[in-house]
Order: sequence, then structure tokens, then C-alpha cells
Amino acid sequence: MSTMSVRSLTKSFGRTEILRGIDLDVAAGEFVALVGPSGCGKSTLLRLIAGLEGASGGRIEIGGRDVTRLPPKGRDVAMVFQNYALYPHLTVGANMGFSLKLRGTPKRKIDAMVREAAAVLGLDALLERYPGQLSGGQRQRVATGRAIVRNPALFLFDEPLSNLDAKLRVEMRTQIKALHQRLQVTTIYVTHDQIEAMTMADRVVVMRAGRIEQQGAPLELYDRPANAFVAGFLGSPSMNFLEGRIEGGAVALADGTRLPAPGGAAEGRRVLWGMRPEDIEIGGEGMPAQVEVVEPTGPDTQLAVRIGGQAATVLLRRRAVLHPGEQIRLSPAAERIHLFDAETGSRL
Amino acid sequence: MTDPLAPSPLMAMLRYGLLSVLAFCVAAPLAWLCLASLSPQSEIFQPVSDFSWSGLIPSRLTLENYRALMQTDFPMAAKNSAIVALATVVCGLVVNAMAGFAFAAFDFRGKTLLFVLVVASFMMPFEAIVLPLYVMIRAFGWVNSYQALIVPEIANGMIIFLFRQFFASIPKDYYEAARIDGASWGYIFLRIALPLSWPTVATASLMLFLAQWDSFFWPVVAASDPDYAVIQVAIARNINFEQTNWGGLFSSTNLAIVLGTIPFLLTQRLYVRSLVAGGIK
Repeated sequence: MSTMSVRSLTKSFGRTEILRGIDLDVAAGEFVALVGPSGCGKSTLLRLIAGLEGASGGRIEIGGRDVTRLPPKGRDVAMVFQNYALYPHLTVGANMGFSLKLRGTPKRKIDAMVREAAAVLGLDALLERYPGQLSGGQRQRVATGRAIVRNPALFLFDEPLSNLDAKLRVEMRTQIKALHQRLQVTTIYVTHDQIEAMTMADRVVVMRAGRIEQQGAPLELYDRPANAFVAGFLGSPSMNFLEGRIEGGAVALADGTRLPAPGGAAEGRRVLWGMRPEDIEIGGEGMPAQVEVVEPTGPDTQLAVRIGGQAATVLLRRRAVLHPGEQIRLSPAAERIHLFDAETGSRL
Repeated sequence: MTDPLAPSPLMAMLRYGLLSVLAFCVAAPLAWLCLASLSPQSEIFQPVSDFSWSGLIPSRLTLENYRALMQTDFPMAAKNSAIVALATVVCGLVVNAMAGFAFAAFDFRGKTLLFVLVVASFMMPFEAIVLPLYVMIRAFGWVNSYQALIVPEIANGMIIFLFRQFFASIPKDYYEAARIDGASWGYIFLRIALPLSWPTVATASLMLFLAQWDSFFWPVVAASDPDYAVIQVAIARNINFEQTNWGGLFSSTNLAIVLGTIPFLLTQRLYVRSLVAGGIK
């Protein structure tokens, strides 16, 4: 187990700045997920930590050792790639033992270590097969096995589940999390899937345009997002944002609809009123809304509605008989209201 | 029941008829060459002067042209060609594969310009560089030597292009995974990239081999000494101003074709796979 820290890390390709001063500390044994939209720099950050790209500025430390200028093999990291990168001409066993062979480990020891890792991942019966003979899930497990076999200081995962179908992705998510709990190796996991990040990580780091927007425990970020971007990025369906102005302690929408607001925001200020879809219920003396689309999913019912002319989503944790065009009243949970500055997006 | 999608019998007959004519046009000269080489000298041109289908078949089959050929410098020329072609294949594979890998895997200043020059090199007619090449090998003292025949043919723009295209199609993740595992670039080239490229290696080997096996102009210029004559030069020596040894010409040509086909038969499976892969990528 090793710590990892990054200080003022920058990366540019020509004139394009990809990373703009990243500071990140990962504790020994911690599982950190980097999330963000495409092009936010999360994969570049991972590649810099791995040594596959050189940093334009800043410092990277693994286990307290400055590795900024070291090649990948000097960093003691293992990486699982999006496409698995299993060598097609080598068997599963040879793929898993590849790094050990390069380090001059005796063959008998390689065999023992490969068998041990294969047993952990349930790959015992596949050691003599070639990657082309495996299913997507098996390939993913072999790629993970290749990473764990040499017991590295740091695990790096670059969107390892994005090539799997939805069902397999959920299974592999659980397997990787269980593996981390068992091995306790420091792990940095890049994904664009916020559900993956929320369910697997000890800490989630949300990135945008080469910067870290917010980092913290998954539920901390979910419950108290630092800005409208983080609030909108985490959660599915994403948070509703209704634009209005503070008037008399409430948020007034353009059409005069008044929404409850927590105190503290200056009178007349333009704000984004944020509410998660699952924190809204139908009934009471709440705000008027018109149903546009009803999407029953079995246990839940998702509604696309209009509140004061603005689009919003409501997620009811039950079955509901509603019809498009129907007028309803919505009651938001007062303690779950989020207010953001309409200009900067910062939390108020 | 008749398959409604099957072509009509008339169309099938027309198609196969046309294909048969084309196949005959390709195969007939080779068959005639083969039969002529097995004919007595006096009968070789009989069907030309007095054409008849029966005239194409020799009155008796004889190996006298081949026996006579073995008494000439042809066996030594065949040996020279084999040495030159095999040495070119071995050295050419190493040099061209490494160059192709460098173009595919690394980013360096001037890469595009250099690659354009590589492509231009195989568009340029060989005759255009014969004179400066000869001046160079003479300066090295290589005239009438194996080096003169082998070295200029090792670096081959077409083969570099072929390898570059193949290596560029390998996902970079393989190289990066190997780098993280601790492999050097040399190790990645030898143990990851090259084992994946056997069809390309087979194709490149064949192209290098045939280029040298069929080579005539450069060997005539660079190695006029009979000790370094190659197979095409030996074939041409059957023709001179005073007299043409047709039996020798046809039997040596026939042998050159048969010997030149051996590498193709050995690598056929990989060669065909490479062409198919190239078609779908």
C-alpha cells in the first residue's frame, strides 16, 4: 500500500491546456474515482500518474517518492486499460505473468503467483486459453489479474467497464470493489459513469475542463455539491435547476410561481433553485406543474413536468397513474433544497 | 426446387467460358515454355512456323536442355541469387520492420516529412538512382561483391510502408501496457509487435525475395564478374549476337520460375491471410 500525491500538475498539448494545476492526495489503501465529462482531463491525469505522458509542470509522488520524471516501469504501478490490452498471441497465464517474467522472476514463482491471482478472480480454468477465446467479462478479469499479480504500489483503472453490457458491468463493479476490499491496494479509477464512481469509491473527484471541481465522500458530494456542475453531474436522473430571483424569502420564477428557499440569499439575487427528482412528491399545497411525459419503470415512475414554464423531472418511488397534460401540485422536501448563484454556479 | 437466386445456366456458361479463355491466355505461354524446355532443340519452334495443336506436344520428352544447363554457370548463378535474396530478406525484415515500427509507435520531429520521403522512394524508378548508387559502391570498393547486390536492396520504402501500416493498426494500449509492465521498446518490438505481424512478415519476405530473384539491371551494372552473376543474368547469357541457345534459355527460365515459387508456397497461407486482413481493415 502506498500513498499518491499530485501537486500543481499541468499538462498541455501544444497550446491546448488539458490539466490546469491539479492537487490531489490519495491515502494508502484508498479507492479514489475520477469522474467528469469527456475531455475534462481525467484520463490524461491517470496517464501522467502512470508515466505514459510527461507532465508539463508540477510534481507526482508515489509512496513519498518523486516519480515525475521516471518512466512507467520505475513507478511500480499497474494499469487496467479500457480495451484490456491483453496480448492476443499469449495465453491467459502468459499474459498474467508477463510483468513478472520481465522482472526476472523464476518461472516456478511466476506460476505460483499467477495461479494465486487466477484463484482470486476465478480464472483457474482459463489459464491455457488465448484472449480471443474469452468473453468480455473474462477478458476484463484477466486484465485485472494481470494488474494484481505483481502486487503494485498503485492500481490505475482507465474506464475498465465501459466495453461491457449493463448487466455485466454491475457484476464486475461488485467484483472490483470486493477485490479492493480484500487487497487494500491504493486505487485510482477513471470513469465517466457517476454511478460506478458513487458505488465503488471511498472518495469521488469531479473534474471539469482540466480542474478539480470538488472531491469528497460520494454521499457528501451528492448531498452538498459545491456548485451546480457537480450537482448536475452526480445523480441519475440529474438534479432539476429552475432559474429565478430571490423575492421575499422565496424563489420567484419568471411566471410568478414561488418556490420555497432556505434563508441567507440576498434579496433580488438571480439564483438556480436545485432539487433532486426523488426529493419531490405529488400533493399538498405545493407548486403547480403540468405533466408532459410519464415513464413507468416498474418500481418507480418518472415524470417529465413543467414548473413555471421550465422543464423538470420527478422520480416517484412508487407506481402512479398520471396522464400527459394533467395538472398536479408538487411538494419539494424543504431540507433538500439547493441554491446556486445563477452567474457563477457556486453554492449559496 | 430451383434456387431463385441462382444465376441462369446461360449466364453461368458465358461467365465460365470467358474465365476459361482468360485462364488459357495466362497459362498457355507458361505451358508452352515448360514443354519447349523439355523438347529437343530442333523441335522447339516447330509449332511457331507450322502451327498445329499436335505440334505443341514434343515428339519425345527429353531432359537434355536441363543436363546441358547444369554444365554451364547457371547452378552458380542460382546459388548466388539464393544467397543474395535470402540475405536481403533477413536484413530487410530487420531494418524495414524496425523503421515501420518507429514510424507507427513514436512521435518525433520531421516524422511526416521523413515518411513522405519513404513513400516517394518507392515511387521513384530504380534506373534514376543507378548512377549515384554505382558511384557509391565503387567508392566503398564493393563492385563485384555480394555487398553490392545486397546492401542497396535492404531498405525498401514499400516494405517500410507495409510494416508501418500494420503496426499503426495495433492498438497503442498494447505498447503502453507493456511499458507499464516494464518492457523496453526493443522488447516491445520483438515480443509484442513482431509476433502479431507474421502475415506482414511473410508478405514482406516474399516481396524482398522476388525483387532480388527477378533483379537484372542492377546486378549487370554492379557485379559483371561471372562469379557474382545472378540467375536473371545467367538466363540472359543464353542470348547473344551470334547465336541464341533456346533450349538453355527456356530450361533456365523454367527453373528460375520453379525455384522462385518455393518461397511463395512456403508462406502462401500467411500471405493470403495478410491480403485478406488488409482488405477488411
